[in-house]
Amino acid sequence: MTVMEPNASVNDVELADTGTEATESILPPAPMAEPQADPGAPTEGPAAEELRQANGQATAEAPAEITPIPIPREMPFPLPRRMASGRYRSRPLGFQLELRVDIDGRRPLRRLSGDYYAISGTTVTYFGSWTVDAVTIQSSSSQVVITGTARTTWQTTFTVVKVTIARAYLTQPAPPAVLQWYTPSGAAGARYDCQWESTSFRTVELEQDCESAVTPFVSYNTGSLPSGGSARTLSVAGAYAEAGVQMLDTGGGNIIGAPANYRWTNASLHHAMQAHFSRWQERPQFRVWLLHARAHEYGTGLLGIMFDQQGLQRQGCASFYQSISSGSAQDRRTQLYVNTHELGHCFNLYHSFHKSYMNPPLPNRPGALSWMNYPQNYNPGTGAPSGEAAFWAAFGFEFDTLELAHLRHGFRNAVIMGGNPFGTGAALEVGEEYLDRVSDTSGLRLAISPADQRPLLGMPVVLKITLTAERTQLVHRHDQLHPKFGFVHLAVSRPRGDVIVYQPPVQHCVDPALVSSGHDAVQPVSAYIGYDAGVGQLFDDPGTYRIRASYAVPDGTMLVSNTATLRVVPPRTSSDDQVAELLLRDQAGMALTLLGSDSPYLADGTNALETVVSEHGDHPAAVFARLALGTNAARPFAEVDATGQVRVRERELDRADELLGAAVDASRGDGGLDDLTVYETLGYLAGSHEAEGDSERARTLRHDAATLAESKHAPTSVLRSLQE
Amino acid sequence: MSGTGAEPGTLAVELGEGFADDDVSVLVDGTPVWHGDRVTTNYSVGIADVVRLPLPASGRPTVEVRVGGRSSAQRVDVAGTTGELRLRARIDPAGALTLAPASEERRF
Repeated sequence: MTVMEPNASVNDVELADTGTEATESILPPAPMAEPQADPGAPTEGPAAEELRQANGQATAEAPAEITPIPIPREMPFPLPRRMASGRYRSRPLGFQLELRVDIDGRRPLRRLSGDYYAISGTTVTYFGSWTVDAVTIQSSSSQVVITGTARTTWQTTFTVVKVTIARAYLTQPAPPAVLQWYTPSGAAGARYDCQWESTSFRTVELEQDCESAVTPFVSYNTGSLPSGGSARTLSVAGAYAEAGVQMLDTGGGNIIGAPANYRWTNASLHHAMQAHFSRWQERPQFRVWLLHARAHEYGTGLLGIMFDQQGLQRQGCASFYQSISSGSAQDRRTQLYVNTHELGHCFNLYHSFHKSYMNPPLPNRPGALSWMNYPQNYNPGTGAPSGEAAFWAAFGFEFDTLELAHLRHGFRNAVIMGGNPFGTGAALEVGEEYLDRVSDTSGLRLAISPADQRPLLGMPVVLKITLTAERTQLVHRHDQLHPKFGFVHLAVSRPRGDVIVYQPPVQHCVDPALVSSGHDAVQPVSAYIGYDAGVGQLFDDPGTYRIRASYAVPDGTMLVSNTATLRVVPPRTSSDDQVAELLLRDQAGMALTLLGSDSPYLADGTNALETVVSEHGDHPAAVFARLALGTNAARPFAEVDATGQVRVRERELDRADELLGAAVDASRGDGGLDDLTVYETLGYLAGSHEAEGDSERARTLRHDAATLAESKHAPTSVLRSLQE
Repeated sequence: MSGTGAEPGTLAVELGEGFADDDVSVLVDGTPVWHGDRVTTNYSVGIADVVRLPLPASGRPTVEVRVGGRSSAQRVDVAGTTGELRLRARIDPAGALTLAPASEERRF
């Protein structure tokens, strides 16, 4: 990675390539070498060359022997200009920018937006998104200049953007867009030269499969019945094309032979998606699956569902034809509506009358003439006609303006299938900081999982971090994957809506200990991450938290983990409530981080741990309190008094044995501490006994740890470290 | 999901909007007849689940839905009922639970 913030720095390579300012040229530069991604893009023909000559720009290859024919400098008739709107892309140098310009064409929203991808070693990683909600447009015969202030998903002082696009005639190739960032005070930041890519703001691959008893929808003429829009033949892809989203039908077309009168369940639909969606992966991607089916168990009234609400969501939906397959114009209209509507859910759009249930909520819009409303729920208010007939009479077969803004310019993870959970960040207001791997040839996998996916409020949150090396290479030793060493970083999205980049309260500066790893060798470590140096208690609200890790590989590659989700559940009993109150104290979080302390500055936290053990000894959180207090008892504690004298409290091994023994015994099964912490605890206690000369007790403890690890099929790296 | 299809003489309790990882119980005349944990609304249809129960032949049973510490009840008259009798429970954004008669409408 050449720079850490894509708006701040000038991309020298791009500047060197650019030459003169595009804004000074009436006509665009010579055609780009890169192939045009949009098959519908106009290609340059003889007329473009004529126009270039007409404006005094001779081509390098013009044959000298031909006598020039005088051509008037102004065309005798007006030629239509190209639209500036569409999708542009910079070259993949450091950061690659996907830019969306939305100022002309069908339903222009006067917005800009973009997504950054970081190129780092062998990985391409989604970095962040930005959007300008309202732009200023200055247009002349030679160029259009678009300016505005951006909202971004990351912190930057370069928030003012200026995009310059040369104006071109329809017969000419699309000019590039030159994007320049500034601070509000006018200091210049990064510049990106983006080549035109498509008239569509986004491109999504659509795979459709069909139950054997169903004839799937193809198209509907919107003039067949009265409506509020112009008559045209619309397919589902056509409906999205009108919204600025290109739906590429990737075929698929599996015929799924379900039993007669089969009623789908959400579980069977999800299974079918995994079995039949050939491009399905458990990662965000602009790919979606639509099943044309007959019936759902919820009843004949259910015409469609976006069923994919487990794991990474919104990758599949289904429509049900049982009650809309008569072949009438009404049924074909409903089929178009339902199919377009369900795919809208996959883009993270809620119903017009359910917006108040989103996260964050928006006001409901029951009067929306939108694909996302229910015709029978239509109510424009103010006494205007409402209900189904009124809806169809006024409906123009389109999304409403806010939905259009989301589809075109929503932050990537709020839109992309497999991104944010359904309903989260669909209001164009929620930033997301999650890095997302787009391609990765590093030969490494970084996986994280919480030790407890549904901890009670106040329970210490422990994360298991696992690095797997598929091919032999140097990586950090497993213990150095703990975030406190600074090679692994975590981002935590909290239910209150903020995103915290985890800062361990105690950071260890160490020389990297590199080991050769390969052949799918696994390097695991577990880390308590409940307390942050900046915000204190990290998991102090009930609700859903999303965590992602990144690892700086020794060769410079930035590796990104899966997204782990944990749900902190509220207290259910008075004991839960009291334990939560004790363990969510600020000093308790620090005492747990340090695994106990005699420091008077942490007396409140230590007392909280003692209270949990003495008064709530059977509570699930008590093992963590015993772990911290017992580990502290197993080591000496040195205190410098006010006179400068150092007083040492010696090891209290009887107390350590009692506390840690109880914590370990409570964790030999499925509950309690995670396995890695148990092995480490036994090892630590063994070391303490060894230091006090009790080698026999140390051997017993190490043998216990090794036996336990073997019985639980611990990875080789863990077994080896126990032997060492 | 406790049943399939609309059958004669059934009571359908539709758990609608507002459910989020909730423990939900359905009781008839005070007797628990259904329990679900982690009940969550699918907002693509506005339904978390549809609980289908056999209707008693006669009488006016009281159907109650409990969600955590909240409860809402509805007395239903089964006299002369054929087919499906439907109730809909929902939790509004402010957290209030309601249970009311409903008809099966087109959802998608």
